[in-house]
Amino acid sequence: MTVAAPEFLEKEAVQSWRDYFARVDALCSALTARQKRDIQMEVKAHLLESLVHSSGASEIDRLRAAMVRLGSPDAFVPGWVADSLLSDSIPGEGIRSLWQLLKWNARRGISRLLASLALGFGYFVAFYLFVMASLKPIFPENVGLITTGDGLTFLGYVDSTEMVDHLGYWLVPLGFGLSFFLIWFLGRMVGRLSRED
Amino acid sequence: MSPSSNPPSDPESHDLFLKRWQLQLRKGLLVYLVLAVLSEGESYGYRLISSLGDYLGSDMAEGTIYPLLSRLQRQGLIESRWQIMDSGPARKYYSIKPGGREVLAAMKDRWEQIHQLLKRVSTP
Repeated sequence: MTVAAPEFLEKEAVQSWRDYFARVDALCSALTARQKRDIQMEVKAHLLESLVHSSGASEIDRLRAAMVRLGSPDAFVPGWVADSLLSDSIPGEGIRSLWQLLKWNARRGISRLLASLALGFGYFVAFYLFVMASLKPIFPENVGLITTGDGLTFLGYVDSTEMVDHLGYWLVPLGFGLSFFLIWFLGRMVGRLSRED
Repeated sequence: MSPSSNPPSDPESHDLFLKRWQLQLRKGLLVYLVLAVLSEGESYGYRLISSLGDYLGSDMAEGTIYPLLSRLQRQGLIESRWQIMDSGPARKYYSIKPGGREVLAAMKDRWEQIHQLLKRVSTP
């Protein structure tokens, strides 16, 4: 179910509106059609009224300002969805709604766990690259992106003469560069996850 | 005796501490304010937020109000109805229920107690 964009003149505004409501829609997947429609209609009414009171030279500027004030769907829709599921669990379709709430929470929990594991692995890789780049000048013959005599290729330390180092001293700038880029990127991802909470 | 290893106390960390404390305080008081606004008459999301003025600030999204309204409704303190408008999209109007007014009155009493306590402890 999509919420039709108002009659924007700018294509960018239409796209922005669609993207926003696609995210709202995705976050409401556990809800019934009526609950989902309620949330979408209320968000739509809010954005349209906020748009009228927004200042900006173009439609897209005004729309973006209204969306920033309202907040990313990830910042407020999940709590709303959880509450909608609880609301309807009290009187009638109790077990079904509670089951939906459990499933929804479990899905969110699992996706958070996977995201945390991926971030943890990312930090480990960044640390490993940093260590390898630091060790290269100390053990130039043993550290690198190495292929051993057995045909095994990896980034690490080898105490053997039968090996090929593919990067040589390029490992130092590449290792540090990638390591710092990963730390910056993962920091942004952590910030994003925290804001969603 | 070894020196204590407390974290550094600098103006930047004080600012961050204050910022977080203010955000928590504002979030905590939001329920009270929403009920207080609704006690003056029914309202819909956007107008309710406008009534709060700059209270939400730049660090609290306007959307925060909607899960709160949903929760208050589930708790039986407020109710809502959809209103078809002559022009523009339909609006969901919220109004306070008698139980909500009772809770608001109790919150006002508690707030007054806190206010008195603050005056007492901050007076040398």
